[in-house]
Parts: sequence; structure tokens; C-alpha cells
Amino acid sequence: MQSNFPSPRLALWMAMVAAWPLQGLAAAGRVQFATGEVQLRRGADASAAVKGTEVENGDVILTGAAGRAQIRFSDGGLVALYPDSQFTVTRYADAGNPAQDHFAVNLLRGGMRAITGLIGKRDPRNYKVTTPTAVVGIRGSAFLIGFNAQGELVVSGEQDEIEVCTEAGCVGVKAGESVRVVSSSQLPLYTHTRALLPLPPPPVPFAVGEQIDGGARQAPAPTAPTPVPPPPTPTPPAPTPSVPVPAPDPYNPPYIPPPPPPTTGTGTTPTAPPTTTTRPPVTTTPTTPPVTTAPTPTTPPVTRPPIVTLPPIVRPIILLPPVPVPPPPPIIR
Amino acid sequence: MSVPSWSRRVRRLALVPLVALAPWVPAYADELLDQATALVQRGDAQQAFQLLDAQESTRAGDPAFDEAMGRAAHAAGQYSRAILAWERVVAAQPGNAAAAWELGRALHAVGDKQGANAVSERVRAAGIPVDAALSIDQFLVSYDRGDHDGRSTWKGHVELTLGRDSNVNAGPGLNAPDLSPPGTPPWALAPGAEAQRASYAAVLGNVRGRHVLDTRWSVIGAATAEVRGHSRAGDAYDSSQLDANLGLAYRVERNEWMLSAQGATYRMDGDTLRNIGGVLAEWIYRIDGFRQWDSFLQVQELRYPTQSLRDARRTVGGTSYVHILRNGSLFYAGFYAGQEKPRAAGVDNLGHDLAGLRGGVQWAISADWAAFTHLNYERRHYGAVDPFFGVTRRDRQAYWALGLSWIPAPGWRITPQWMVTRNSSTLPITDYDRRVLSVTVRREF
Repeated sequence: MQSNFPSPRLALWMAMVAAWPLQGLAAAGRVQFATGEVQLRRGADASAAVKGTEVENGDVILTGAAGRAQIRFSDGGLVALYPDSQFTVTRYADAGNPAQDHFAVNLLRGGMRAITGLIGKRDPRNYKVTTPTAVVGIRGSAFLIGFNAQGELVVSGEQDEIEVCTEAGCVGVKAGESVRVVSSSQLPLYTHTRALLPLPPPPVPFAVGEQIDGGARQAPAPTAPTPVPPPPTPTPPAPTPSVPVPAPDPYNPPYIPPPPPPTTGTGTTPTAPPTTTTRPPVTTTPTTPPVTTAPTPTTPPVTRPPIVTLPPIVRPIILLPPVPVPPPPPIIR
Repeated sequence: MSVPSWSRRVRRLALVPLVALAPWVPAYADELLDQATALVQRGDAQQAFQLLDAQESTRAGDPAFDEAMGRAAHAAGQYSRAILAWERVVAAQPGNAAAAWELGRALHAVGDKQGANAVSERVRAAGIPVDAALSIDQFLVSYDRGDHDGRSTWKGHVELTLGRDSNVNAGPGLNAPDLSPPGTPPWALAPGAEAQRASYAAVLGNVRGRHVLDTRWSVIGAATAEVRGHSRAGDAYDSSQLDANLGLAYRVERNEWMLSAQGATYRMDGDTLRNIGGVLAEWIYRIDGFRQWDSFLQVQELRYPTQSLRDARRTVGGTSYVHILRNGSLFYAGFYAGQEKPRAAGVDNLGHDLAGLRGGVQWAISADWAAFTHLNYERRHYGAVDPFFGVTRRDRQAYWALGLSWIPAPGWRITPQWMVTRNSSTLPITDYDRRVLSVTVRREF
């Protein structure tokens, strides 16, 4: 059967020519929400943009002082325009093919929040937002761009990562981060806060066991002499200690005894501690109780001297008796 | 002018399909929204979001739909989509404070604090505060002000704390002698050496900031002064403290390096007890705006003017991870290790190696309330046998804080908290418990 067409190639060419205008004129997107003053300029024409208005390549959308608009593009991407914005669809092509896709828009003033669609997902390099001072590319899917009161561009990442480039180079902006573009010749400046965890503090400086000075009024440290029950016989020399008991012990210098406590009021006050640092008193002779005070022989020894008797403490504070360290165990092989 | 009868008939006929269809439209709408709401309640927010997303282009601007879309998108983690939906609701219903609150929440979730603050002013006027319970500077400090846009800035706060401290001097308990290790010599605490219980009041002031030199370099600094006074039982421990640091910061992309000189002095009962000078190096790696690693190395010279034997060099390094959740909650965890080496010879028993773990959580209970907890565990192993007790000191210190944070008004924070310290030590005189109950009122500026 012979075709009526002069040639199949011509038929194909005619079909392509017929289809091309349809593709070229297909709307890039559609206004899905508008409030306040929102204007769409197409060439020399200007009209109010309302819900359902189609947006095409080259269209300029302007929002007034209270105007807001949301545009849904054919690839599923969204752009929300904020008050006093000027937004241009420079080049949009949703060809379904990364080699032919384009999402190039221009934000001259105001602000916009964008959520990328399939064009950006297919190839992030095809997605560009151009401003007077920087170009915003994406590797992610949501970001906010706006001009601050000084006219500087501020870009914030909301999901994944975007890339903000100036003539000086590019910086990455992830979710929760933001940059300010000071000028087109400088790198964008990060603006988000950077938190720090406080450092571990040094030990408490006045812990009792570490307090080796301080003055009597603080009296923070002393481990005072304990009136140890006197041994029945003089204590023999201690066995060889396995620990370095103070020879020149910088940690426990000679103990300075407190002045004798009052001798009235009780018959059980121990005598003043010895002036040596190596052992407690060998014997203790109780003072004779005053006649006017009933003796209290069963009262246990006072374990601390009265606070008023505390000497100026110079160091910890310890009366050093022989350290009863047991001899080392035999070596077992 | 009369209307022709045929025209009236046509109008009536034209209304028939509208009247007939009218019940169906809301029924369809209700069915869609009900279905989406049910899905969100079942925890399948993603499916609800997809269901509504398919209808958004036609139904955007319908407040009922947009509210459902906002909730589903937020629950599905599509915060930017939630913002768009809630913005439509607020545009259509400017008086809808609940929608404004939701919008503020979504803006916080993406880190748009400026937008959230703009919303919060309106919402506050409506009686619903949306100040985020999150404050970076409550547990985490920063040199930057959130709204400074990367410019040079400084900020600060003052605090008044009232509290009750069970052990102001970190002294052992009264029964400490009973804890004396077997074989150690007999001993007893002198009066005043045991744990002293006291009430206290403290005033703290802090300023810190960053001076930006260029897009990468900046000068950073901070200073803190604190004065603390106790009731009579603990007045010997009245103290004052001054800390300051000054340094340089260099940031590139995800990294920031900081090198600072540090100084501190601690005075107690009128005398200088300890001075500190040192260097701090920090490296912050930002995974994104909500997650970061922070590593540090700190070298300090500790000087005790009246106790030179305690002079030491303290070197501590560590790392921590901080994660701020989109709802304003945050958690952190880290570890550190180091040593404190005495300068004097023959006092290795005063020096120690240390290693610690720490972590914390802050929950954003509501817009202006948060609960928090912090845990710190540190082990210290001292370098030689203690000359008196004949044992090597080893400490295992646990610190736990639990509290609430309330923001009654912008810039104000009230923090009641309960802090417990347990230091388990092989030396009975460094084995202590400490419990502090306090309320802090903080004013930030």
C-alpha cells in the first residue's frame, strides 16, 4: 500500500514541527496560592496572578508589600514568594532528561523558599537560582533565600545541602545552616551559631583532702589527732613500712599542736598532742578534775578539740602514728 | 426591570447540579482529610503527606486542607512543606493563633529562627508563647548570637542563684573515720573539716562575643565573674571567681578551629586559692546545622599561691557530639582524658591521670518549659601512695544534675535544679557526697 504522504521523513518532520510549539508553550508551572498583591508580567502585559494562573518561561512575578504566592512547577517543585519580591523564570525545561532539563530562575529582590522537584533530583547542576550577588545551586531539596534590611543576600539550608557561589568560590550550606553574601567578590559568610560543650572543670580546689593550707578560720582540712586509746606499753618501732611514710613528707609536715584546751569543765580532756609527728603520746595522764566538777570517768574521750583551739593549719593535718603495715607476704613461686 | 420567566427557570435549572453536588464536595473533602488525619494518628504520616500532596495544587488555600497538610508534612519530616501549608493558613486566617504557633514550630524545625521569632511576636500577642525552650547557652555555650547574621557581636547574661548545699567544702561525712581503710592509722576529722551544710547565694555575670575579621578569621573572647556567699555554717567558703579567654577562630566550610589563651583566678575567704593560665585548642566539625563534633585539647598551669606543692600542669583532651533535634530537644555525649602532673618533685601522690564520660539530654516539654539532665563520670588515678594512708588514691566521681528550665518572658530563664555529686575515693578524707538544690534566675542580653 502506498502512502499519501510524499515521504515518511517529511511526515515525521511535520509531526515534530507540529509538536514543538506545544512543548515550547507548555506552562512551566501554575500559581497554587496567592494572597495580597501579586502581579505577573509577560512581555509588555501585566495581570494579577491568582490561583491557577499559569507561569511560563520569561514570566516575571512581583509581590506587593503584603503579597505572597506559591508556584508549583511541572516537575513538582515549589517556590514560595514573600512580600516585595521580584522573581523571573529565566529558563525552565522539564524534558525528563538531565541533558535537556533546566530550572533557572532569578530573584532580584525580596525572598523565596524553594523545594526542588524532579529537575533538581535528576541532576542538581540543572537547578540554579541567580541573584545580583550570588548563584545558588543545590545538592539538596529545600532552602530559603532572601535579602536582609541591608540588601545583603542570606541563604539558609532546610534540607540536605545547597551550594552558594560567588566570584570568590562556593560554600556548602546544610540544613540548619545559613550564609550571608557580603559581596559578589567575597566568599559567603556563615551566620549560624556553633555550640560548644563546656570543658571539664579542674577538681574542686577546696576539697578537704586536697586542702593543704588555708588558715585556721577556714579550718577546712584538718584531720585532727584522734585520742587513740593509749597503748599499755611504749610502742615499738613500726615494722618497715611498705609505703613512703613521711621522711621529708611534703604533704604532711610536722604537726603543730593546738594550745592546751581549758582544763576546767571536764575531767576527760586529753592532753595536748605531742609535738612529734611520728607517733601519738605513749601515755596519757588525765588531769585532775576540779573539785567543783563531778568526775565523769565513763565519758568517752572527746574526739575533737574545741574549734577555738584549732591552730593555723599549714597542711593536712595529720598526726602520724606508726603505720601498722603488715609485713609483705612471702613470695610464692 | 423584571426578569423574564425563562431566565428564572434557567437559573433554577443551573442550580440543580450545584445543589446536587454540594453535599458531595465537602463529603469528599472530609473523607480525604479524615483519612489523612487517621493516617497521621496511626503514625503513617508519610502516607498521609503523599495523599494530601497529590491534592495540594487544587486545594491549596482551603484552610482545612492546609491545616491537615501542615500537620502531615511536619509529622513526616517535610518541614519546608509544612511551612508553606501553615503560611497559607495564617494568610487566610490571620487570627488563627494555633496555626501561627504551628508555623513557628515548623520554622524552628528548619532553623529559621528569624522567621520563628517574627511569628512568635504575633502569637505572644495572642497569648500563646512560642519562645523555644531550647537555648544553646544553657548547656552548650557559643560565641555567636543567633540573629547576628555572622557579624561581629557580643552577648551576655547575669544570673542570681539561691541554693542549699549539703557539702560546701567537699568534705567527708561525719562518719568518715568509719570508712578508714583497713590498716590505715587512726585519725579523726577536726571540726569544720567534715561536710558543711549551708545555704548560698551567687551572682554571675558573663559576656562573650566574636569580632569578625573576614569571612574566615575572627577574634573570640569570653569573661565570667561569679561571687558566692554562704550562710554562717559555710561562710569560710565564700568565694569569687573570674574566668576569661581570648583567641582566634578560623572557619572553612564544615570546620572551625579555635585557639584561645585562658586565665582564671579563684579566691576563697578573701585569699587567692588558685590561679589558672593556659591554652585551649578546639576543633568543631559541623555535620549540618543540627549536629556537630567538638574536640578539644586544653593545657593549663594550676597555681596555688599559698600551697605551691599543689602547683600542677593539667592537660585534658576530649571530644563530644551534640545533636539538636528539630523539636527543640537536644542531647550530647562525649569523653575526655588527661592528666594533672605536679610541678614539685616527690609529690606524685598529688598528681593523677583522669578519664571521664559525660552526656546530657534536654527535652522541650512545651514552648517555654524544658526538662534536662546531665551526667558526668570521672575516674582519677593518682600517681603514688598517699604518705599518710598508705594507699594510692583512686577517685570515681559521678555527677548528676536534673532540672527544669522555664522561660517566663523573652530573655528570662528560671532554672530549678538538683545536683548530686558522689566521689568514691580510696582515701576517706576525699570520699564525699554533695547535694545541691538551687534556683537560678537568668537574664540574657
